[in-house]
Amino acid sequence: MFVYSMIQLFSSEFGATYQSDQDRCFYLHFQGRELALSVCSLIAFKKKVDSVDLVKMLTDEEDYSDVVLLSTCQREAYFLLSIREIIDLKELLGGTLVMLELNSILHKQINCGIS
Amino acid sequence: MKDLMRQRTSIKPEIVDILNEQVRIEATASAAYLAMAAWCDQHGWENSADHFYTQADEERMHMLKLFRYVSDMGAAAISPQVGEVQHDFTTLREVFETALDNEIHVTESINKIVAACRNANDFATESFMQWYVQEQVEEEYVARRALELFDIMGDSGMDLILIDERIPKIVYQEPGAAGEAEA
Repeated sequence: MFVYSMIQLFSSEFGATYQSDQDRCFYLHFQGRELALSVCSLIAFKKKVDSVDLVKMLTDEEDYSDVVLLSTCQREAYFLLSIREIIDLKELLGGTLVMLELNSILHKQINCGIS
Repeated sequence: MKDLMRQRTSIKPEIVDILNEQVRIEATASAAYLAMAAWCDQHGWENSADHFYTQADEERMHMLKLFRYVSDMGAAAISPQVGEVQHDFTTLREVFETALDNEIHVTESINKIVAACRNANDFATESFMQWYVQEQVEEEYVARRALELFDIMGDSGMDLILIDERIPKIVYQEPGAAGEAEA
């Protein structure tokens, strides 16, 4: 279900992330799915995606599948990802974290006064 | 737009990462001390073995303190995977040398965390880490004094027995602590 009060945080070629103040969580749209993630789950999932070794995937002579299976923190969802999708997801989650960091900086400046 | 990130956790992701890395380093240090204790036990150095068992407990306590802090701040603490640690040593001196090298490595890692906290204006974590800074002064002192015994007394059979007897007597006393106690 798409909630229209969501604010887009970042988008990439294959997906996008949103924040819902009402639900107090983030939404990841990827591979045609919508997934709700808490702050902890988002960071944990980003860590998993970042830890995928692309060079190893490309050069592994025992595994020619070039796909990786990743689950979210609570194992609510599984993603079977190709190399292109992993690169895209790394960019998407990295960009999302930067936007959240920027939002935190703005809040801090508003609360403490812009100097 | 609400600041959900700040509402959920009071430490930044990059600080969480280095704290989790420190959890792993402390766990590895604990495992390394256990291996040293086992080696000392096998070779009949009972006091040295006891010393390293105590050190292993201390490192685990350091790890748990960090782990709880990360968790209490609303971030995800990661239970560490401990890799291979050194089990084989040639001499008792080598064991203590390795212990000192490990402590120096831990100190450098803690200093990096404090520097990163300052860079990120994370004063709470910096304050929390000050306990570790002080603790490392003590840890390095004990490891260094133990190693100095070999320089003073030598490496022969009788010397090693005397060194093993003196290991439990190495205690770090903070500068001024003796004066305060007397007063």
